[in-house]
Amino acid sequence: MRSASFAPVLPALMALLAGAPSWAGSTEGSVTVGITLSQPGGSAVTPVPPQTPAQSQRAGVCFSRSLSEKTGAVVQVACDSGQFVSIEAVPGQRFIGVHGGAFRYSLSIAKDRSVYEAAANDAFGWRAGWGTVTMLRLYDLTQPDKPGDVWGDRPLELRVSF
Amino acid sequence: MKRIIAATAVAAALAAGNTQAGNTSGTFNVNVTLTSACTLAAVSDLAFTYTSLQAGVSNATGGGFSVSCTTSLPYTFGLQAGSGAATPPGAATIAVTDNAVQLNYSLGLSAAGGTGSGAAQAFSVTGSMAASQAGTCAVASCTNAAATNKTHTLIVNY
Repeated sequence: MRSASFAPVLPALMALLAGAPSWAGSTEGSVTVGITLSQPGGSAVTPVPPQTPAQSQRAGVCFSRSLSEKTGAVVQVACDSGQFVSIEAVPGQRFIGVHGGAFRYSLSIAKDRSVYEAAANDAFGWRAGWGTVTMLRLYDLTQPDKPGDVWGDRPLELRVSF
Repeated sequence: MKRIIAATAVAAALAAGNTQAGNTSGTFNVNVTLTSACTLAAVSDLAFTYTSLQAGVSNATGGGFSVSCTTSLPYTFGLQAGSGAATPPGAATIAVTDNAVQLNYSLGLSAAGGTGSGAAQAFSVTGSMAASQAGTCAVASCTNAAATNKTHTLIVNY
């Protein structure tokens, strides 16, 4: 009779023991993490120069700092997560170096698919690709390769390192 | 002369004599209940200094703490993201995305635990931030001062 009265309690007791922690107690304290984030190269940070109306609408999506004012300057671009850069070699342009050569690029963000689609449907035949650009090397921002260069109005050409 | 000696012996016997008629004795115990415990000194803040897209891993500075536990008492450490109520035992490592500067980092511990010695024993919370992260910062330099998830919990289990 007595064992019968314990019967409903026993499984619960066993389960409690099985799940009980092996430690006698615990104490805790807080850990605070401080972060200082700096842009590459220090304090001189300038936005990417807008090259087309569509790109100027995206000013502020990414920030860059030109490390030189000369042709061939290295430009580092940092974008928020979720943003991407679509890059395509310019047809007929020379490739320089092991990382490629002249590229066109289009900045966009995942939420703005229309920009990506517009780039894909560009008359120059851009094909879009997904990826994360960690560094862009400026090849020629404003000047054509030679007098009469039909590419003088190109939006932007870059050497790209991945 | 013999009389003098006898009188002296009687006086000495009276001076040293026990006035008790007898004695008995008993024993008693001293019972001690020791509740084992650990105390944790404040953990120093960890600090990351990071440059967007930097090539190398960034390791945090700071994070030191000391724990004092009952001698011979084993203990373990655990980490818990956030500053909510601790739920022991915690994890050996935690991964966090700072919600101010959007940088990922992980926290670990210099040791899994130890055995109490009665004295303060030094350890540290370690922090690591992977390379090639962009982060979010609209100006030249930002801090995560406004982050709401920069405080985490260290748990000592014993």
